[in-house]
Amino acid sequence: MSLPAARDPILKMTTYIIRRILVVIPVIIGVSFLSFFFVHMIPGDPVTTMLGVRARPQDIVQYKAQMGLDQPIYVQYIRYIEQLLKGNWGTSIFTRVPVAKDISYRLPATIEAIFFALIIGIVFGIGMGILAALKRNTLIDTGASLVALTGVSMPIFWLALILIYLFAVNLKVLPPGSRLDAELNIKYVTGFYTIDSLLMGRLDIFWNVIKHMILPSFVLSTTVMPGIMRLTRASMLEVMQKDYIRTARAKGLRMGKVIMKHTLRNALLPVITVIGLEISGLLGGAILTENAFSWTGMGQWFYNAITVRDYPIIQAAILLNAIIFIFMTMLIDISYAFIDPRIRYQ
Amino acid sequence: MSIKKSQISRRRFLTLAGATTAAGILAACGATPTSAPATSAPVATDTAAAAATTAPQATNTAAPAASDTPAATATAAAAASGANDTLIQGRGGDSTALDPAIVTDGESARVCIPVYDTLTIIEGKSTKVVPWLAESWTTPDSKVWTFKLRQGIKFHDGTDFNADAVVWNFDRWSKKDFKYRYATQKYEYWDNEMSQLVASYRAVDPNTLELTLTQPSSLILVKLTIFAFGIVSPTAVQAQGEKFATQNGKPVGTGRFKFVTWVPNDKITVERNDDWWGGKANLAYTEEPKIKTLIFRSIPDNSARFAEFQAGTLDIADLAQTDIITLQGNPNYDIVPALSLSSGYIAFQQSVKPFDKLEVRQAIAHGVDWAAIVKNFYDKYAQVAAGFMPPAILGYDPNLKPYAFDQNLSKQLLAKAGVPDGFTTDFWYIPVIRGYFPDSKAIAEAISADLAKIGIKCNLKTEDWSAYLTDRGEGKFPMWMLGWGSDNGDPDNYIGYHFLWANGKTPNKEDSYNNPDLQKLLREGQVVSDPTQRAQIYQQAEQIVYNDVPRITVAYVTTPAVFPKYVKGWTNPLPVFRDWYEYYYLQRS
Repeated sequence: MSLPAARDPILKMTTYIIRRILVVIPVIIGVSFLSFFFVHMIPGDPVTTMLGVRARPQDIVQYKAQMGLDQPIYVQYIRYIEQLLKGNWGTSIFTRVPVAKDISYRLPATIEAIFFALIIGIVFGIGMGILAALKRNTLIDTGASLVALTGVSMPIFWLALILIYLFAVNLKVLPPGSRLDAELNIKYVTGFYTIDSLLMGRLDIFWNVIKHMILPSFVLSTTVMPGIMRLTRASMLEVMQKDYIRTARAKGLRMGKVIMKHTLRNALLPVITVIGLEISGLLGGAILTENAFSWTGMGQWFYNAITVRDYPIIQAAILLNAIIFIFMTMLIDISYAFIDPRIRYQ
Repeated sequence: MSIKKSQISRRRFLTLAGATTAAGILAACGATPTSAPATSAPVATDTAAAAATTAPQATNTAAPAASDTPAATATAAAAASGANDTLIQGRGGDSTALDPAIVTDGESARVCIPVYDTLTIIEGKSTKVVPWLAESWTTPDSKVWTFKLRQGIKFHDGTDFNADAVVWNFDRWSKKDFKYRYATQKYEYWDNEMSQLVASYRAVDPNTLELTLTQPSSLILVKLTIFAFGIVSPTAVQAQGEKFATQNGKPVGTGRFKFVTWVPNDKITVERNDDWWGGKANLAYTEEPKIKTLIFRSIPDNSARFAEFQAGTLDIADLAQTDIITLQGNPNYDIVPALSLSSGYIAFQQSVKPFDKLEVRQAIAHGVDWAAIVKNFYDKYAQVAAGFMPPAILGYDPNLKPYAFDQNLSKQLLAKAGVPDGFTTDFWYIPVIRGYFPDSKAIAEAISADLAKIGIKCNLKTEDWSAYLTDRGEGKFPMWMLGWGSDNGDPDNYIGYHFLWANGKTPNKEDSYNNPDLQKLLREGQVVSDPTQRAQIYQQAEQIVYNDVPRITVAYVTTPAVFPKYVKGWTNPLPVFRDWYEYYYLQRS
């Protein structure tokens, strides 16, 4: 007797999703392990950074003991995992602020920036990709490729500086950095400034938040936009040569409908995969973007922590990045199951 | 360690804004670095840093402290238009906490200073100690000090300021079992600066405080100016407990500005205290603040901070000297130097021949064209040095002139010393860039080129910075470079720190310089309380050092600050050991 699960598409889907989630657990454990050991392998240690070159040896010893840094590394790791499982991310060595508190407002900041960057990247990337595919081998196509190439090759902090000097210093139309004008204050509810400003019922603050969002999220979007654009173009060109498109055209469907319904939908499948993978690019790009725009997000936090060897923060940031990335890939995988029926029946 | 200046360092902060610290702690880090570590970390002093001081229960706090204060929306209308009553200060890192007794980093101190008042303060236009919360003081013997406190002052929370409140603060600083001291808190400034010095304290009457010292000392006045001894409201600490002045609490003092909100790693906002006593006290060195709101913004990235400054979203900012230079000649900015509190010097090991001979040291002093070196390697704010201490320090002697460049004289002196043909020596230069030696290797090369002409051949050497400092202390260098920046403007922290024997009995290993007259003067300087008499003592000490040439001071240096044209109220030179927030005002067209 065969299992009913194999026949029931919904059950099969659920099994697929559960299996997918279960796979994540060992991956996260692996990441926590690697991040812990890599971080402790970076030359230099927080105690020396903190106490300075003139520190007396006995102070260094005492302080290391206080922080548990004198224990063998595997003991430190086990303690770390114990605490983590209790939901305790540790305390910053330098600011002595609980890491969880930092996460509570830094994570929304980064997610907000990444979200807008992703929207800009997708809209412009796919738009330009379609255009380039339709106007293949014309000036538009070359122009779009040029933009994509520039986007890929220009260092993100450099682009950020150029845009800041152009729009903030010279034209003075956009703010040079931070999430909000210093004179304005926001009431924290979600940590997402766009949402919180609306919750306050303050359109002026909302508008201010948006203005602050434009440059950083555009700069950040350049990490994903070229990839999306090129892939959309290539994928569109491929699909456009399929028989069913010719059929659709032959049966007299309007060009617009053919592109939107028949070509694009099929062409987008690989694009979605790439978007999922590009999230890691966004997380990496956030480190540079957030520093350039003094954006109080995860990237800036991570960067500062690395420069002073603030172990608990570095570990938390790596782990969080990994979780976000794994979570996004998982979402993409699952979305396949919905978009592409073939996956479900494998 | 990175040399990127993303945060004002504690040392640089101290030099600029005012506070003091144990000379020993900072020892030979030398003076004002032109660069600071790219950390946003508190720089702990020589003791092991305190254990976690943050309240552990904060773990699940979803929002930064005090973000929903009424002021959150009140100031909104003024925003974005470039309001003329809000001053925004850009800096490289956030404060760790705002409890002056506990914090040790510059970024915390600079926010504590406008919120709390100390008993005494440094005047700013000079390094003189002047009355602040204490209106006046007397001492019969430099051992028992009686302070008359100002009357009618209230803390921001309405609590009365009086001798009881001050005694309560002293209890908190000094008594380990005090009820409002928590196990996680460490009072480093008290432990390092005061614990050995203060024997007892008491409130004589509601407006009189009496301090008894363990030994006669004039240093108590300058130590009381340290931000860490800012007086906090006892009732505020009692009400907030361990959270007092942390990110989850609220700082309460008597200062010019009162706390409004703190968004971690982003900004701290304070607003004018309209009831501030200082504006009404009719003092020559302070007045009612003109700006209404003062915002401290943290921007760790140097270029981001500089861009914000140029975009006009920061009114004043901590900037890298290299960035400031690019604004030179720009009509929209004023570049203003501060009084110099730092100098670079060449030192000699007198236990090594031929540096034991005065004539040899004099020959070197006259054998190098110091003026040319300062002109070629320093910025335009540096001065050719004469005496050991810069002009802003008590005891500076304006009659001392730089050693004249005269190589014939040098050759005669060498002949007199018995080395007419010169000699060969190791000459150690610092491996780092410092304000007092902006390009130490090039300067060392220029010095040796001059010395080669009088027959002295220098082998230039250097090593890792921390090793350099240690070996110098051990007396391993015959001839070497280093510098100093004052921690508090007091001569004891300058000439005293360098020449007073550390163990009180034998010459310091680093230079083996032995002059009993100088020891006597420097010890006297620590005790005498009358400023005029003290100045004379230190001038005599300066004269001795000038004659004995244990060191040759090359230049007095300073770090300039830059202001947009619309920021007014600053002075040239900028004040030292004091912020100037009550004087600043904005005049945008």
